[in-house]
Amino acid sequence: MSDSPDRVPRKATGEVSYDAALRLLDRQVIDSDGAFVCNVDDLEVDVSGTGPPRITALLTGPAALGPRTGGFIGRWMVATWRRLAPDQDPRPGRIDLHLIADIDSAIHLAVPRRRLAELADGDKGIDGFEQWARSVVIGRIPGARHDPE
Amino acid sequence: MKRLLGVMLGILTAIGGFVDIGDLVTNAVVGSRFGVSLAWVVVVGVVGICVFAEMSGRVAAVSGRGTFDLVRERLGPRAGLLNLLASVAVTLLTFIAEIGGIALALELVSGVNYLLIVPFAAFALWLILWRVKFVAMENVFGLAGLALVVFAVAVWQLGPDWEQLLHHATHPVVPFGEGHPTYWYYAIALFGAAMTPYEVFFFSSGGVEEKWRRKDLIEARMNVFLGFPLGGTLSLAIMTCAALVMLPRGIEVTTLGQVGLPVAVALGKIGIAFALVGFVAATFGAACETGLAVGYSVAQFYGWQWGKYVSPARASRFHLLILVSTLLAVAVLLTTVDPIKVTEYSVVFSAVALPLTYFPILVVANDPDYMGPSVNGRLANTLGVVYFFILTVAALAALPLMLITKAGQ
Repeated sequence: MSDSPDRVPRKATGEVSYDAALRLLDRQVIDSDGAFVCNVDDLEVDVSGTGPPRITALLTGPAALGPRTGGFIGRWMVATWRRLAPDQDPRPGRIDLHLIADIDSAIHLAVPRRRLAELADGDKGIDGFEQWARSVVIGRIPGARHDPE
Repeated sequence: MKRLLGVMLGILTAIGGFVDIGDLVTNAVVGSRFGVSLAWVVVVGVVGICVFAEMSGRVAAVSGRGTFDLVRERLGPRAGLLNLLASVAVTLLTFIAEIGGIALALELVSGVNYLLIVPFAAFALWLILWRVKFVAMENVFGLAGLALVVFAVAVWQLGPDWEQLLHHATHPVVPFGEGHPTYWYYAIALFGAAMTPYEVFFFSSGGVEEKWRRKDLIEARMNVFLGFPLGGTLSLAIMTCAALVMLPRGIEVTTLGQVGLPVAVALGKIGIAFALVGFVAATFGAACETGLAVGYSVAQFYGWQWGKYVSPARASRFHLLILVSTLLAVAVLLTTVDPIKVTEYSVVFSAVALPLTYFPILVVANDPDYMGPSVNGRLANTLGVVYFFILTVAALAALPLMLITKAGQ
């Protein structure tokens, strides 16, 4: 909740003691319009600098979740994703830490979801399956773009 | 005044929406074989679903997170995935049973073989899930489901010896000719029918969709604490009807028609008309809920956009899931598998899968960091822990009992 002592500052600088695994992993990501974007499947950690390791981005998609699931199912998940991805060398979906506006029971982004693809230099990692489902099946059914009545 | 009407409507829909194909079949089968000697299980089950639904409704209102969002957050991706697979499998089985139930109910109305009705019923169902708003759907089927009150009228019309009935219910003995394992197997089936997991996924996800806040909790609690127990009395009425009409004649309930037979005996054509409307509404409503529950569970686990408050194009994966599950259900039913048998298995597997989702909700509801002032009080926590124990015992005993009794034969 908002009054918890180990609350993350707006840009997680790593200077506050913070259990990232507990507070970030497997949380729902919500965009600035209130739409559900994805789940935090893994974290990108920068260990190149001289200081302590720094979390730099949230990772999402089967490529990030597969290794954490482990075993046969995890390997199968990654292999299927790799085979179905349109790119030659697909990467997991990545959301830069700067885009986070607030963290409570969910992670709130400062931008709408359509901006994410632009920011990730055209990488479709976050939205690939959703876009496929929309263009191939759901978008073709009459009434797909109407709000429910 | 408007608010009071809203509360009334919520309670009425909760009553009508409580009963589904699992309750209809299991209560009638148990009534025809064990009389009212298992009535106590319905009471235990109804209190259990109240505890579970109240907790998950509270968690949904405070955190805005659906059940499987929390399951994954608390159990991690690996244990969470196994949990998801088990729960979705059970919910799909229930979904198949509900669509089969719609077709059987419409067969009773029209005389057309249920296999011919299945594709049309499934298409109508999909159309509702595609276009109709959450609230409208809930209200229409919930209110029409109130026609099942005819079972309570039938009990009164059959004029039982109330004192004897109460004595049998409060001093349960295993009837002559039935073994203890079968008695306990059906106890678990009844418990699973009253506490089906999809009800909770649906209830809490609905809370998130309708954007409940803390102040809406009173209304949600009224629905749970009045609607569910009154819905439970309908279950008891169905059981008592079968106990009064079928048991003395040694007829075992094996079809949906036989579930409604006591009403025909007591009230004639008018009665059976009400019962049929109730059957169609109860199964249709529950089919909507289970279909959505499959979509909710998977979408929440992976963080996809879900819900009926956005257009289908904005929740494409969620709607794709619903479409695929509906097609799968039709395919399974068209193998000519008996929907009543599917129902009987679905309620037992529900009992097996219940602790999987109950446990994470219980943990979150007890987390003051998450829940703030709405954390479990002493009563909610005591009941919560007692029920976790009951659920675990029932889940562990279900499959061995199924094997020993050859699924209740």
